[in-house]
Amino acid sequence: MDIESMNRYVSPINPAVFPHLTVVLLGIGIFFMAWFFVYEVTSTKFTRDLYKELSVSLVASVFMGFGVLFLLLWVGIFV
Amino acid sequence: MKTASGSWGPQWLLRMSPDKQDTLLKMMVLAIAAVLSFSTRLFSVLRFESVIHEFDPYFNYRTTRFLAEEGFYNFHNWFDDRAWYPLGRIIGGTIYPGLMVTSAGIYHLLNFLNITIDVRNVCVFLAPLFSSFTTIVTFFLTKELKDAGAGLVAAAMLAIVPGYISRSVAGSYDNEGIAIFCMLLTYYFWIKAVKTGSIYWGTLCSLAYFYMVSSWGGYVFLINLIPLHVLALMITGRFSHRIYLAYSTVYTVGTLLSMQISFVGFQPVQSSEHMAALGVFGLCQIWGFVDYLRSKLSYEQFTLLFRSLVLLTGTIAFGAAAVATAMGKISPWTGRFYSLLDPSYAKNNIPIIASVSEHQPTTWSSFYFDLQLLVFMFPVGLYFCFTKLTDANIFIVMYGVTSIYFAGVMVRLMLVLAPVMCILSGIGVSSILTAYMKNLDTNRKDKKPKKPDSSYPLKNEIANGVILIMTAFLIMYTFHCTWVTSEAYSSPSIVLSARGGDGSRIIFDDFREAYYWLRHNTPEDAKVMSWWDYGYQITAMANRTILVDNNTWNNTHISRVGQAMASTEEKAYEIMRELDVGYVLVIFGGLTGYSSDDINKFLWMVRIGGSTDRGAHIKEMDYYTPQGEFRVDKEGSPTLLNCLMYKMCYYRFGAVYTESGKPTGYDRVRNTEIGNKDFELDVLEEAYTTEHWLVRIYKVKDLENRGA
Repeated sequence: MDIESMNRYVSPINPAVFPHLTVVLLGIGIFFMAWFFVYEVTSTKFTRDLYKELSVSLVASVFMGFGVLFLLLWVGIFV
Repeated sequence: MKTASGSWGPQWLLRMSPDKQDTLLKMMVLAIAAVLSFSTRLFSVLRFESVIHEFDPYFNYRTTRFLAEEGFYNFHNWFDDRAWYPLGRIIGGTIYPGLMVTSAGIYHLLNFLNITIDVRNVCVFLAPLFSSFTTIVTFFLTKELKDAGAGLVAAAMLAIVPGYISRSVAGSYDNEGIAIFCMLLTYYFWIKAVKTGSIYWGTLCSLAYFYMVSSWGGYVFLINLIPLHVLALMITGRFSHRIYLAYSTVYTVGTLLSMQISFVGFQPVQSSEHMAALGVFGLCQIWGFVDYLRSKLSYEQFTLLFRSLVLLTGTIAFGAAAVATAMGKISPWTGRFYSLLDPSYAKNNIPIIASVSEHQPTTWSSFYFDLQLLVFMFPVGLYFCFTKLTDANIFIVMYGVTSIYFAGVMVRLMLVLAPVMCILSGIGVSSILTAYMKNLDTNRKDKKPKKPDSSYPLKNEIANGVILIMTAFLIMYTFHCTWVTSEAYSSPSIVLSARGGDGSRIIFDDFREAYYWLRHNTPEDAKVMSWWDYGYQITAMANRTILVDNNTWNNTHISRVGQAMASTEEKAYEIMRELDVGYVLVIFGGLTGYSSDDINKFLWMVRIGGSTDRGAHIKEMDYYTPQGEFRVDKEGSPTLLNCLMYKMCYYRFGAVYTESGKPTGYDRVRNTEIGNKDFELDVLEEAYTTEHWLVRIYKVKDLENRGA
């Protein structure tokens, strides 16, 4: 494997878009995360609904995960 | 459960129950405060680069790198032969490892997750990260002392207070960065333990105390403040089983844990700084026992037993303490802490402690500069604490009063004062705002105008006015803090910048230039002599052996270096041959106008050099003119004009034009033309001078080939 025959690595997502993606994904993620926390703090044993908890937290973690990924890429930590 | 797919926007926010609004608001404010505290510390990273600042952080960085590469056992047993030549330094046993272990832990965790952040970047950004944590802990602590509203104000104030920012800016990789977090965490758990009296919180407090001991020498403050608090509670008659339980747990478990740190060792049972804690522990046990007896015995039996026992134990304890101190089993207060109680001690006896600028007493303007609004709201908070005195409030009052005293004695301890100022001011501001918000007239539709209260005219207007003024104060506080952070506390010290004549920025990177020259152009085992300020930077960046560094643990060795700098070339050559010195490094600011150079520090070198017996021939008065001035021009004292430091700084400087209209060899810091211009060096030869003449390196010449 010599270096001339290798292709230069190109990111699947245009790096100029990293900031915008970060803000959007993290924004949505933080919104859902806040919703989840407020729901947990203000609900009692009787009013808590498992499906609502699971769905909100799933959406929150998916968006937060991708948001953090693009945040790291934007800042220069190329994970 | 209704899902929120219907109404969006502000109506949705208002339709939430008050409970949810409350939680959301609290979370938002806390999150914003935490992010703010991180971002406000990033000025120097944005203006220069992600680099470690100052001097001490370079040592911490070097040890962290060693720990990350070699592992904990090698780190714990590390004997460094590249510092304090020929003595060496036992690093494993003479540092507080908390900071290094935390950084190395974070580094390994991130790399395990394949987020590849370099050790240097972990070190640079650790202090801002921990300041975010500190903001959150302050909220919880103040919530315990007053209520959540005060907690939010205190957290917001702590995020930007300059007194804390000065030692925790990005790049300032020093113990205080995590020590303040550990300290407030310990206090939070202590307050919880005092309020609940449970062993659970007491043990958590001990664990937090262990973390504090591992991170900073200032843990002595904690181990004296907590017993003082217990004593105050005893005196005010608030001692109860909760306090007994809390303190017994914290003292025993905490002391045992603190002795696991090698640097602390057996000090908690041997040194006077820890004796107050032991004394109060004994007193706690006696008091608890007395209470127990009182509940079991009759009144007459009890008083007889009580009086005789008190007399007996009192005499025994006093006698034991006196004998132990006399025999030397209990060591007296160490110099650094003793100078806090007697500020003149260092000036008269230990010039090294007196010469550090951080150890000077604080000026009035420093208090305002570092704290602004908090200085005025601090007494207000104290007042509100006294109106509703609880066990926890007594603690914060004592913390405030003691730290004000210590911050007044030593400017470095302003750092310890900043959190308590924020907490008490938070309590003050929150109480004022709550009190006046209640008076506000919120009838918007004017359906039923409230009948004006005859005993309190203009209630609504006054409330509006006070709240407006308070808001204005808080806004001014924010502007001040951001300005101070940006202008005063964000300089890396290792890279300087100035504005050129046409407004462009000139960067002075001379220090790193010189250290990397040393790294690439000198033999691996070369020994470099410089003043102790630069020791840590030389070992970390140039990777060469040095004679003295910032640890300043051996005054005699530093005095020897001072003698070499202050003597003539021949005498200095003897000292340099004795210590195997290969290169000498000096900092010279005369060309650029950099005022913290070695000529300005020279008098301290003379004082320290003359303070031991081998330097008895060095007298400070010889270096002044007959009129008593310190001058470097033709009027200067001949001893000064011929000493090694002078010659090293001004070699070839006599031929340089520095300012238009001035003669050659014009020193821009001392603002005079130098006295001794055309001279040659006999025992040194110039090895390297950096671009702006800031750092000058000389090679020590070998002995003559043929004997004299």
